[in-house]
Amino acid sequence: MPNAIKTYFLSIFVILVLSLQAIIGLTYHGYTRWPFTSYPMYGGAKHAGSRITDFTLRAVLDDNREIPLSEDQLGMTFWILRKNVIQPIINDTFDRDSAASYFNAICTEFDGRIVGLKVYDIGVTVERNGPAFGDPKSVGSIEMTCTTDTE
Amino acid sequence: MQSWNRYWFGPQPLLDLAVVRLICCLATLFYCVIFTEYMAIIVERTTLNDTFFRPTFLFKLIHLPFGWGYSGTTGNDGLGIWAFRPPEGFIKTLYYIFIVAGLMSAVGFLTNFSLALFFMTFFYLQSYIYSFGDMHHPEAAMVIMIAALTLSPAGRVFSVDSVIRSWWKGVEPVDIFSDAPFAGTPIKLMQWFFALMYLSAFFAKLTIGGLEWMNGYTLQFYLIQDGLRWGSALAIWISQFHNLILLGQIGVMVFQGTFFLDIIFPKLRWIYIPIGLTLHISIYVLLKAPFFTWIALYSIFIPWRDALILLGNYTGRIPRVGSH
Repeated sequence: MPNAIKTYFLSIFVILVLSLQAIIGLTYHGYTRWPFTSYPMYGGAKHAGSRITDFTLRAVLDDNREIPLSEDQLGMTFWILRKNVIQPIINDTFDRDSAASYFNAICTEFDGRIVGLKVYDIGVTVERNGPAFGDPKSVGSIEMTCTTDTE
Repeated sequence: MQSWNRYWFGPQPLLDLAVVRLICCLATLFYCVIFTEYMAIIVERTTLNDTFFRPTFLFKLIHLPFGWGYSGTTGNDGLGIWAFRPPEGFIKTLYYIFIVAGLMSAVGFLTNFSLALFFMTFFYLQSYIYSFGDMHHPEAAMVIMIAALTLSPAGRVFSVDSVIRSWWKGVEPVDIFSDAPFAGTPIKLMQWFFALMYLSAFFAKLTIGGLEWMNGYTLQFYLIQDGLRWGSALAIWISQFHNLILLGQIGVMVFQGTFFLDIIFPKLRWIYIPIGLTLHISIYVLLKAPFFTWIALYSIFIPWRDALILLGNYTGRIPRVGSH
């Protein structure tokens, strides 16, 4: 390829890549523009007493017992469970249609006795001298039954 | 325009480019195949319901000709005009092509073709993995780097191609210490890309957390969170040293906000590169955030040819090589 053409083509490539990264990196906090993305990791300021944002998911049975659920039981990795199940329950944006695919499996495991899902934090706060361990707090819940929501 | 061409496309050491090629390809294969276990993630993704499928913009664009309806394993229709979901067999086949292309690229066999294939499969697989509502940051820069390597003379020296050219075809071998046009383009592009990534991180901390971000408690929080989540006793132990962590946070902001200076003033790399490597290694040890690809990409800041010459006390003239 002649040098002049190669130079123009590569110049466009360089300008495009750096421009996209500059614009998206400074303005957009989603993920759908990957591989051009912002880098806001660990960006939120925390203070003394801030509760650690790690969570557990529990199934609520018809006798009010709460049973912890793991990623393995739901057939998901940690982050898929966190972003597609736990976070939507906390944010009240849970999609029951998406739940049907994995809910059937745990309904079978608990003989159809599930009446809801609850999310708890792990009860840890940050203090000047490190972590302080307390009681977990419920941060979100939904009602869900095996017979109606899994058809 | 001349200054632009001189900076981006002027002669630069071929050996630097070749070493970066080798390191980046091997690091990518290690990270994807061994560390993150691509195949296990692919299998997990293929079992997820269509309602989890939220493809990235470029992933949708790639499939535009196929976007009408859905042809995945569950047989569900109605994902919409842009939401073609590739079948499991296709994804798994791409995975094996990815490995072979990566190895060929690393050793420099059919280099530019291999790099192109490596880039396309890497981009496709990673886009697919990130099309289910979950995205992380270690791979983006490396994808861009491999794309840039594809467009460069990355296999001119220190490669199987160079051996084939000289032994089999009888072509006089290119001096491994020589310069060539376009050899510096991927390296300089990725140096500025790094500066932009760090500026994005710096800006995000300022806009999301404000100056309060540098209060010590913020990093204590993340040390405790990730220490408990991923089982890092060291992170939990360090989280008790508030003042030390506060100094660390100030240091991180200064580092990320000023990193671009070492591109303009290369001598500053003696300060920034060790700090950066320490930062990313510490992030992995303490927070279990695996930025191995970034650590590998730091090879772009090292003048490999000059370092080798210094070590070997080579005193020969450095010839220029024209591009084809």
